[in-house]
Amino acid sequence: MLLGVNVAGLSLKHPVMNASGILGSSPEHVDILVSYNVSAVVTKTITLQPREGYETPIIIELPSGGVLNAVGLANPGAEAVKSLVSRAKALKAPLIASIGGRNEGEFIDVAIAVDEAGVDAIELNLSCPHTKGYGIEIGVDPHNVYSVTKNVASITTKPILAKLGLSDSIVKSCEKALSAGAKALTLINTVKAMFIDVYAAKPVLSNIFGGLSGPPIHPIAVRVVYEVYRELKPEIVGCGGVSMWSDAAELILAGAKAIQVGTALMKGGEVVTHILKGLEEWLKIMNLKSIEEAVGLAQV
Amino acid sequence: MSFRSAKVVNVEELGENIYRMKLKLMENLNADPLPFQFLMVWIPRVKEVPMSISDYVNGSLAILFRVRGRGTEALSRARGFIGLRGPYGRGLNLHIGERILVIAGGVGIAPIPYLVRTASRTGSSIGVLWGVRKASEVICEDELFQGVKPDFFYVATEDCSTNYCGTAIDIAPKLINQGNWDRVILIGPPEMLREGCSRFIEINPMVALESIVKCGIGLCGTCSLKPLPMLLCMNGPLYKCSQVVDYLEHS
Repeated sequence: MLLGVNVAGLSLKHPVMNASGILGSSPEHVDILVSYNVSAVVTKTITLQPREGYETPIIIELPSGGVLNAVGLANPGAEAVKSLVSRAKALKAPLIASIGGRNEGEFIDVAIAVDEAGVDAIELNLSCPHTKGYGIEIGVDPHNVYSVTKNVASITTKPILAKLGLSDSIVKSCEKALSAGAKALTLINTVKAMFIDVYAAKPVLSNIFGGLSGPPIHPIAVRVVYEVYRELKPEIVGCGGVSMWSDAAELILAGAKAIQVGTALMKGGEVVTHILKGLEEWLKIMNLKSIEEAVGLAQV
Repeated sequence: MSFRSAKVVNVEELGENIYRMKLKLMENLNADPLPFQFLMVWIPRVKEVPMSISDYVNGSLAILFRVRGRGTEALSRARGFIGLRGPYGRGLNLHIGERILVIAGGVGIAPIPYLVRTASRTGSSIGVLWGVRKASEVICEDELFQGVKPDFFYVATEDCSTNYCGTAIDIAPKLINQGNWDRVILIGPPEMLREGCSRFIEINPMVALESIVKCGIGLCGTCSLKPLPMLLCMNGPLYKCSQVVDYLEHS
């Protein structure tokens, strides 16, 4: 098993899962993601109550490459997670619930619901850059990261991954998440950005600001993973602009044990198979026996 | 394809509450779209809505739509510049010389002028049967198909104001049986598609589906054809009836 990895207590057949926000809010989405051959299905960020999300446009493919989105955490609410779990179990796919909230109390309530629903792990969305009151507004403050993670860890025995985003305090936030009980870190979320149509002379996203994803943020993700691994040596799920095997390999060499693919899935699921094939060949060329042997190898 | 801007050339009301907007893209599409592909059309600071490509020639684009909500209402009044994303969906690759019968209902006619234009380039022939409710919704052939001609264009009206009286589905069996069609395509409201798929089950026609679309690129999952594990923006909007029978029953 060249490609098998253990991350956050989950034994995965290979390191590539989908990033939260890509499908992941209905049983049919779970079917589609499993058909893409991801090793674990990560749900859309689930909040306690259903959310409609923002008015369109919610997403733009940018002329300069990359994708900008402000979906507004549209999701079916905590109650719907049971149907996702039962579909994932029927397909024998591990399910990681991404959860969000505006404060510790909301995170706890959602965590209880998804724990009871039987998810395999919980990813705390502490870094969504475009939904007021959620995400990065919490995650940018290491004390909040500690408090949310600690509270969730107190009510569940499921592994917790803390998903953090780009900020000056990222290393400190990672340290706090780990000391509060996170088994792993997902790095990084999208990066707050905007796009203006120069003829309409207006911002295009209905929310004005959104999260940038895709190839433009990949070098940022590599840098963050490298720095956090160097300082803390945690288990990391690398995320940000992975669209080919070498992008995944870079994140692994920087310190990631597993990978999430988001934007690149817009071309369909074939990208997962291409990445896995590329990684397998690369491991052989590098004379490495497993992904785990490659983790952090680029550290100098 | 990435976001691009387009200048509104004009907007005409062709039939009751049916508008055609002509646009000039500020930058041409990378390649000609395929018939039945669609665009996401952004009305600045109002909304973004999915729209079939009704015509496209070298950076000049037309969309045809019925006003039925805030987005299309604003679109009918839009002037200046708007934004576009796409084309999305798989669309239809025409085979040289193939014969297609289109059975369209209401504003489902929107992508057909571009199908006819594309067919004129591939030597394919397109027969069109169009059903509308009443006389005021009829658009005459020359107005609808600008500079191209389908093999035939029959208009059925439910108020019997044209020669063909009834729904398009009522009139269709005779045409289906008369022609040696390579494909029969149904396009229109869900109840029409449901009825057509059921009545013409032995020929398993194609249907062009419509759904709410938000991202258009397979990421948000809004256009999932529940309970089927399919996304309209990734592998639609054209399907064989047999592929989407469960969806049509639930929609």
